[in-house]
Amino acid sequence: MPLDCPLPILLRLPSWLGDLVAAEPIVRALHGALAAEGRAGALSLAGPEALLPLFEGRFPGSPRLAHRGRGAENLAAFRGHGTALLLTGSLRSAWLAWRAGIPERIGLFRDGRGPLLTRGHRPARAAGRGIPLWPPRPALPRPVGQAYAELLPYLGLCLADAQPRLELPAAAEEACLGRLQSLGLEPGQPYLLASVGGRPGSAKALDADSAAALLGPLGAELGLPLVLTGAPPEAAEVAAVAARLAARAQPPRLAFGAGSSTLPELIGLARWAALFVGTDSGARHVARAAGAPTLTLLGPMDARHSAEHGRRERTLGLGLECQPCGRERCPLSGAAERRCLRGFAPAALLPAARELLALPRSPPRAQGAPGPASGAGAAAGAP
Amino acid sequence: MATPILAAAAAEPRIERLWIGVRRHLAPVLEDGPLADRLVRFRGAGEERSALLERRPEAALLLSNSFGAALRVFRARVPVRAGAALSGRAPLLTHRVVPPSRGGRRVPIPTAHLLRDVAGLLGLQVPSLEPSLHVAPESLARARGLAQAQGIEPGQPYLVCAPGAAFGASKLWPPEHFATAIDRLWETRGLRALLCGAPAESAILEAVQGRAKSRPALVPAEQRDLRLLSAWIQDAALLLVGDSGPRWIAAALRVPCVSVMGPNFPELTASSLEHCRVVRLPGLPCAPCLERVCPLGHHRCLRELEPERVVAAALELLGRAG
Repeated sequence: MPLDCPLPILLRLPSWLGDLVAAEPIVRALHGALAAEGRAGALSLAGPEALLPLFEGRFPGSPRLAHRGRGAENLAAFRGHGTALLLTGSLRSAWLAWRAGIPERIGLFRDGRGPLLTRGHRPARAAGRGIPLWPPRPALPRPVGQAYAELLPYLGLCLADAQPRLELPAAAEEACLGRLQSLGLEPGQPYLLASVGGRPGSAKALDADSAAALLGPLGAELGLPLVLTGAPPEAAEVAAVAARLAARAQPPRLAFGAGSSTLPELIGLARWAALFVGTDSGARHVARAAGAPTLTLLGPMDARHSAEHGRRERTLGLGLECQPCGRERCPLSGAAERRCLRGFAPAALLPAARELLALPRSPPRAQGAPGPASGAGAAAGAP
Repeated sequence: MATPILAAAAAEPRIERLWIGVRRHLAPVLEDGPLADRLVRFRGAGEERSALLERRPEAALLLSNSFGAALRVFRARVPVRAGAALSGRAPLLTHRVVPPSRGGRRVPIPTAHLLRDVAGLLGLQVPSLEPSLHVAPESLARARGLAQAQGIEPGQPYLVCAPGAAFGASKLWPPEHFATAIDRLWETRGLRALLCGAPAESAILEAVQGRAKSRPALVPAEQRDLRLLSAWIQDAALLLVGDSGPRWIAAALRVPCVSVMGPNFPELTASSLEHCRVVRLPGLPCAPCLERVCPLGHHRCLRELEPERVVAAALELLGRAG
């Protein structure tokens, strides 16, 4: 089915890893629709340089427009596109699309950028008793992938397969297997993969003491070797957790060793893990989309933001009065500080962990292997 | 479409007691499932109001968008009334979702998304929007027996064809088109059709049967109900349907489905499409119109939708299913 928008399309990808994972079905649908007509080159994927490797080896023919950070976007590369689909929420991204002279600019009307967009809508919001009037027009906590899917009809598509799916490119598979073997893990040997990711002091992250207190006993109780992973900025936190575990005579097999896990390697580590444990971080979304049974500890974030595609996930929250606060830094102090994550006891994780371990393993799907059709085939118009 | 919300509500530890209000004629869809003992059936507004006054719920989660549903819970003085701010009922709700909009007008989004948003008003997490239904072995056995009486032997692959639409005449693909499609699927895949529909849709079913050369089976009206329809769909290789409820039964049972759509916005039902193909005629200036009867009198959105396109979609799905 031909897309109902001028080509080529600039797909402006989110700047957060979790949101980027949620956007994968959109990328797949658009690429599929264009590739079916031999026009994969009419889709440009613009996103942070650090995150684009998530799609390494996929979406052949679609150029990547990588930028190193905010303010480093290559405006010249944006010019010449007929449509910009913004899966970002910033005013800046809409402004850049307008500055680049892209005639159709599609996205959510939020943060003052409505006048810069040609197609789109105001997001859903909650109203009524007890819902604060400030900030104005409070956004409804809803899965970000859902919001992205609702933008596709502006291009003439409906999303057939809304499940994010991450695939392991062949080159990364080899590196991943090598990494696991260097950790003393035999091919096929089950392990517990844990992410202790988050910026230092972030309310969304487990501190080193809490992480060690949870993961060590959990791995021991489940009889699984523990593999820690983290992104490059999280090196110090991962090392701190590892040191504490070593002090407990429960040393983890670090995947984060000489060099961090690349995003493709993280996909592989998650794909082969018996269980992934983490907080509401980007790694959680990667693990879930890679098919790992996922146990997520929810701290300050509203579960409704990411409550989708969770058939192989269990989320645990303590239900504290202060939750969810959505804050990056805990506003409380003393014993109450970050209690939403520090308050977890290892025994509380076991039932959910065992339930996940009992799930049938999803077999890895080779890259390029046929999967559920998406995009144009779902809402068939002209054959 | 609402079954994921019902499951989430049933699993929510904060909810001590859950009642599911459902129109009496729709209840059979849920009666074979784990929520059967929570169903409160009502025939009309009066019975619904009586049920509310008798049970005095502390909260009502409205998964229907009608003004009447909101008015009844308001008049029953239910303290918390959560729903979508549609149909002019916002003042009747204590907690409401204002759907995506542009220029003051609602933008069509998948109804499943809206239902999840409404559930979120009460803090319910809905991890998956995939609908689910259950068919009891007894229902399946009875359905197979009735199909066998109409010439479809156990184990024989067949398709279910549900050509009716409760919404209105505008959603009815012409009977001759349905007949052509099921004849083609008989010729190419050897699938005999089992015609299903509400007792009130007998005329439509007979019209399709009369035009088809492949002798589709038709269960007598008094033997048709939603529970049996679910069983027939579960056993079928394919459901061929208009833009109507049985499509969601097929989605819940993971049965391939081709849905023929005319006056509706495809965005409103753009969920659970993994095993479904929605076929519609693009490029008509009058579509979608959401009218129950074609206001222009030509009904082109469905009259001009050729059966071959529907057959092609069906063959593609059947090919994938192996």
